[in-house]
Amino acid sequence: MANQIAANFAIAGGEAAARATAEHIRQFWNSRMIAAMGDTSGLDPIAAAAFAQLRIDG
Amino acid sequence: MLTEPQPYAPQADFGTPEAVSETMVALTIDGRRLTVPAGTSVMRAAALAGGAIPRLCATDSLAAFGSCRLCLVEIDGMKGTPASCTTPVAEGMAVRTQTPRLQRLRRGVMELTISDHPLDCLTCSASNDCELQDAAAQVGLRDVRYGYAGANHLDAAADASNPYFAFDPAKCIVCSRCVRACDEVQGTFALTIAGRGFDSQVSPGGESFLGSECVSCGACVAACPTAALEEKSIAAIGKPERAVITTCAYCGVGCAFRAELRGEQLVRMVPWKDGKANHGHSCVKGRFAWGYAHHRDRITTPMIRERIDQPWREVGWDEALGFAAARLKEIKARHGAQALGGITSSRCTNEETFLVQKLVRAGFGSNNVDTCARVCHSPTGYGLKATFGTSAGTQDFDSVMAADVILVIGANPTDAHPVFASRLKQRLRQGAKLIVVDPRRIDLVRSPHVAAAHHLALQPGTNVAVLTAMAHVIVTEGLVDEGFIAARCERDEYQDWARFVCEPRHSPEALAAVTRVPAGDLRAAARLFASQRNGAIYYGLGVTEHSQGSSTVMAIANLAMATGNIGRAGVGVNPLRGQNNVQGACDMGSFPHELSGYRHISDGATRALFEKDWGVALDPDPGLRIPDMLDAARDGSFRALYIQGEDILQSDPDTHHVAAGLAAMECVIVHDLFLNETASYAHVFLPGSSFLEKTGTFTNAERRIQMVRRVMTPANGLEDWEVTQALARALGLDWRYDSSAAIMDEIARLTPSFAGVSHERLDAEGSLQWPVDAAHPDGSPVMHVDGFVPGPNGKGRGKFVVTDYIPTDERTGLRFPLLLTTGRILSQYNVGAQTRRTDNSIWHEEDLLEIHPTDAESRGLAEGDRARLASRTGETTLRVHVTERVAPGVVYTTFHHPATQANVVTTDYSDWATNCPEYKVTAVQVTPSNGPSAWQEDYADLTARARRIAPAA
Amino acid sequence: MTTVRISDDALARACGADALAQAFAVAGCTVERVSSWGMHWLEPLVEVDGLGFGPATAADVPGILAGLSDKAIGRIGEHRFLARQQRLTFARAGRTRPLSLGDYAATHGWEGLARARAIGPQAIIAEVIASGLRGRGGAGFPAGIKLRTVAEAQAPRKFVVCNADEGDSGTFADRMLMEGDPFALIEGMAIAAHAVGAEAGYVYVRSEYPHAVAKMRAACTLAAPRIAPLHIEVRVGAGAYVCGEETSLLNSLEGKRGEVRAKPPLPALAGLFGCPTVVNNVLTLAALPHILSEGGAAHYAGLGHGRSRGTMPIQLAGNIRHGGLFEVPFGITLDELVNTIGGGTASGRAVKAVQVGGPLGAYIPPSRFDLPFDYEAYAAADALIGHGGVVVFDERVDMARMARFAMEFCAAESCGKCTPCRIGSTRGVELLDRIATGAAPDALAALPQMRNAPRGLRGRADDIALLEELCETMQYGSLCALGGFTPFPVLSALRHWPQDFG
Repeated sequence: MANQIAANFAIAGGEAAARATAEHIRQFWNSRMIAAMGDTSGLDPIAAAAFAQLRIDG
Repeated sequence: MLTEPQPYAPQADFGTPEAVSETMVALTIDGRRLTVPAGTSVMRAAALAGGAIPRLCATDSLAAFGSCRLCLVEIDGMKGTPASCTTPVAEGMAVRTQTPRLQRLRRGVMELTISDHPLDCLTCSASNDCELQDAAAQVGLRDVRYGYAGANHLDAAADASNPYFAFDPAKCIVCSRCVRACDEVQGTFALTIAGRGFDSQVSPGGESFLGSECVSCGACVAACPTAALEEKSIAAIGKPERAVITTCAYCGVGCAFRAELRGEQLVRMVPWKDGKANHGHSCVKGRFAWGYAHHRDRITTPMIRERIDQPWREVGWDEALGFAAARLKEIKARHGAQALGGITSSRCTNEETFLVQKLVRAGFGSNNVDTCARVCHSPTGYGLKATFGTSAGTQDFDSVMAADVILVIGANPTDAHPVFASRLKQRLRQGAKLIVVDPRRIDLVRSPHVAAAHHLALQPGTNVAVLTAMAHVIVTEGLVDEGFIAARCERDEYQDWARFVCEPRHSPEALAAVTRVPAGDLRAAARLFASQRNGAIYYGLGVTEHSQGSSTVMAIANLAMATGNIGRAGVGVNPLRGQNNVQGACDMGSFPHELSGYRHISDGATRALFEKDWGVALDPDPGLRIPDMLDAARDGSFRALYIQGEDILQSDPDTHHVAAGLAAMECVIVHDLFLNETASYAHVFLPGSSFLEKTGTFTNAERRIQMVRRVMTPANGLEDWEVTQALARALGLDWRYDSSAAIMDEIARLTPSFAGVSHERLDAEGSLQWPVDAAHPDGSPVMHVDGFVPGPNGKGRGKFVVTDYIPTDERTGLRFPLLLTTGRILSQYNVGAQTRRTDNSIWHEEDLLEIHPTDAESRGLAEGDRARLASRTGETTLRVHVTERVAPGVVYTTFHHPATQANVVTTDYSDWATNCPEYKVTAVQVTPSNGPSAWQEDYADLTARARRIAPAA
Repeated sequence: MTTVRISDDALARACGADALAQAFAVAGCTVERVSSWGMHWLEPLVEVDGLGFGPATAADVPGILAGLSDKAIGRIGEHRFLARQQRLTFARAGRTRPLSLGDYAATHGWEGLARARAIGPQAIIAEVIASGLRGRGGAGFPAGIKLRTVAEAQAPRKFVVCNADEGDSGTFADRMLMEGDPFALIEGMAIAAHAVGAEAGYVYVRSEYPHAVAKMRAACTLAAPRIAPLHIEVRVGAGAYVCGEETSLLNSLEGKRGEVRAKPPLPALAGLFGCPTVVNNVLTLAALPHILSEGGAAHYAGLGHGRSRGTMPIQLAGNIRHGGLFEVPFGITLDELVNTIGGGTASGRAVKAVQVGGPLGAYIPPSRFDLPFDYEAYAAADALIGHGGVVVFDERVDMARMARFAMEFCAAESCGKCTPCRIGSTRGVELLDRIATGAAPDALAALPQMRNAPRGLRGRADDIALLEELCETMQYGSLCALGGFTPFPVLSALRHWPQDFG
């Protein structure tokens, strides 16, 4: 799911794509689902960066 | 005026349609001076002045025809006796409607008509509700001097083949109203006049009505002035004695109907001429398929059981609600509020939906509320909010009559939105151009007097690519509306988008390999769309139910903005909503991330407004969506679900996944009319009320809020909102709504776009289109007229969004070489809970798999053979229909019958932004089969066991 | 080698013209197939060096070639049947080969069109109005006004439609013109099209005219370069009389049921496929080339009687000794037409009645043979000139049967749209039978449940009164002229020959 979101924002490019992905997940995902993602290193780099962003923001 | 039941009387009929003109014409009729718009007929002018001229072939839903010759008048300076229906008014005209000569002529005409008509009026089913009888009375006919021995049609055989209405040619006066209604209003052209002269007879093309092209819309029946075409229910019951105006509960068109009754017995549903969505038209479902409301399967007593392997136990309301409340409280105490959730119904009223989401947020304490829009139009909500700033279609239905080119993409209006389709076809017959983008050759592509200029039969799942290629043509060929973009849209975002679509990889030629649409056709279609004055886009679930659903919606919005087709009549982006109140359910805050009026749950100010009104603290965290709830149920963190009016087991994708999720829960409360498929997994069954048994509002696809009025007492004793309120009270909430009007008052108080809405106003004005606020006190037929909705950043400019085409992960391959796509048929509705319990099944007894002749041949399948349909997810069996409507490599089926369980096959792939399931693309294999699949057999067995009801003690 | 001229008109061929032509060819003659002069009793008529022989058979060939035949009628052009005429529309009748562009051009062909193009639409319309030409299909509507209405209508597409569904009993002028001088019709249509701005034209020909269809199609192909940008297509009807009614014809052309449309809207504003359309009869359109020739309009307007200007191609038929096409200025009397020119009945018996204007025209008794051939004079006498057909009946005719035939014809040909025509015509037949045989007891009307029905039998006087009322209902109530004019023959028969009604 996160990868799919990231793929659709990928066209915006690197950091912008990660920001957009993070914002999308923030808006539509329950925080427990975000927390439940656990290790995100196996994700698409944009999705992984988005989760890193989400965790920094809390 | 509309609140109280009306004593039964036919609706006023002015004989010919309203003329719209700014020029006014003054004339005198029988010495009375009046002024009417130019183009008005003398007949209509006389009727407006209160003096109806006798007539039979004229009715104000049809163009004047001039055949019955009863409405003759004398006009100074005109020779002869012109027919008032076909004679337009002229300045200074002096008309006489009653003179000795006219009286003689009219009586002469009527005498001829009656000379070939049965004389047993008193025992006729139309007695005292017959325009022929009225006209005979008006002209003073007392005797038929020709005698009764002459030629006649009184022995003609009646045709009772249609389950809902009968045709008795002996009672037919050959006024052609039925033929014209079929042509002009419905656009099916099923009827004709066969023979000529005295032998002229109405004919459904030499067939019985059932065997003909007739779609049973009822337009002919409504138009018939006698008992020749009449509802069978009138013959069975008698003339109605009262009428209640209400709104149809089937699709998102939202047709207004007059429910006509004797006592509490519904006699017939007649489309209401003043209904602004349907203008007096209807389809076979709303018009006739209401018998389910009294079907023997209907459950009217609450039931409970400890475990789902037990039979149901019938109990009283208090016991059922107490049982449910205790379980909910216990689960909440054990697992917290996040273990509870609810599903609102887009079949129920705004008021009921609002209460369910309120129960979840304020009572359960979570935001775990979702609705069936998740599986249909959630991408519309996302996509239009992102581009236009609000989640709704931009136009009213009437707007289509001003469109010059119409793009229909991923929608099959003649089957799924038939009353709107009839309007669309009217406009096409007037000369508007049509572009159809659909993998299947839907009826609109070629039907009587309608032909699409272009049918782009794309590969399922490539909508975004097709729309991007169209945008490529429009931008690279300089067809964009620069003025509109400069004035109304964000410049930078437009430039990013324009650069993106101009890339050579987005040319029709480059994308043809993916879309399978010939580049020349696509270029021509794009040029046509961009070149006309008014271009309108209509779309349906063929757009949204894809892994790129939200992207496609945004690509549509981009296209509309690029061509300047927003903000006036005849243009716009128009989602054709599936369910009667899917727009309303979304408006009412049914999604886990937002409160009513599309305000995000994380927005503190909005939350504060609700918290103050409701007296509780709200969770700022978005809740779980339906698939998330089902996942959470399997990991044990979600345990209780209140489902109002939705059958997720049948309607949601990947049935095995849904069943496993439901089976893992400890408290499933199903609130419905029937023991639906989901109820097999329920612990509490709360009987629901039909739309005929409740008062509230529905909001249709054009944002039109219309009243649903209680026509009869609920069979279960309670309207659905009362049941939800009782459950809330059992949970300890102090809710005291005394009517659904009070709920609407709360909605208006808490929802800016509904600020001006109340039942009182709807009663007075018929309907309102939101937003109804200070800026739009009378509502908004067309949105974004002067600017887009100001977003959180307050700018109010259209935003182009770059929509990259990301193919679905669902791929065809050696094992699953075909693509399955799904849809609806005219006579059945969605999972068929209602229509299967009516005579509509005569048209569609089972779901069929449409397959191209070459694919059928290579598999050894012939018409009617049973086939096994298998995907990576599951398999089912159904019969095949071999047709060229589908392209080679594509198969199609409907999902109306639980025995088919088409969703056993669909996958859990979904829209990237909203999780809307990808119903429209599944890789499948089709092979010959000689019986039901194992799942179908197991499921039949499970359902039979799950539906057992213990005998009363 | 001797050149003989024999008509290839359908009537001449029906009388044996083809075999006769073959016989002359075998005899070594050059045979030219020309149009018919329109003297039906003389067909097949042979012309050798201006001298006529007819009606001729193969047996007459040697005599004719020897100049000794008893079928000799002298110089054709000086025949008294022709000498009394003034042929403008039929100026080429008998004189040219129908599909010869050379013959056509040599006889002032295309001059009207050339001049029309030179003077332009507004001037064309002004000249047609000035000529006084009225629609020859029967309604007599001023042709120039119709052109002006279509010309002024704003529309992207306009049409010119020629009504060649000539269905009136005893009429043949349209057929003769299409078979004998098709380019004249095409030229007329081209003039009309130029006046209104139409680029497509249709000729709607009844299916019973296969020779006319073939000639028109061939002529359209030959004339195509001449009339461009106008494109003319020939369409064949399906045997319905009512499709001669203009709106019904338009529906038929559109591929729909041949059902009459209510007017308004007028076809001039919303005709074929909803576009402004000129619909005119063959004779109206074929009159245009002469009218548009230099001085033609004034010449045309100078002929005629009252408001009926120009010439009328009258068709003499039925029980008449000298039948055929007789084109004269309006104003001629029936007495002259039937007795002087037509030579009385073919049977030699006294004339009892003449029906003018087709099956829906009034029957006129000899006492009214002074009536001048004129739209208004006929209307004032409850009669109509229609398409100019004159059908003669001798003293043996039963006028009650003719009245019944009128109703029967209406019943057979009714499109079925409007009540007076659809039901009234059938009731009319039944009523006339009842008048003829006397009323029989009506079992249903005699039932006590039928409170309002008269107790006794309905009398003849009641039935005559009912017939008159039915005629009023049909005349004023019908949607088109089929039902509206059926009362003319019925009431005229009843008025002038009451004794025939028992």
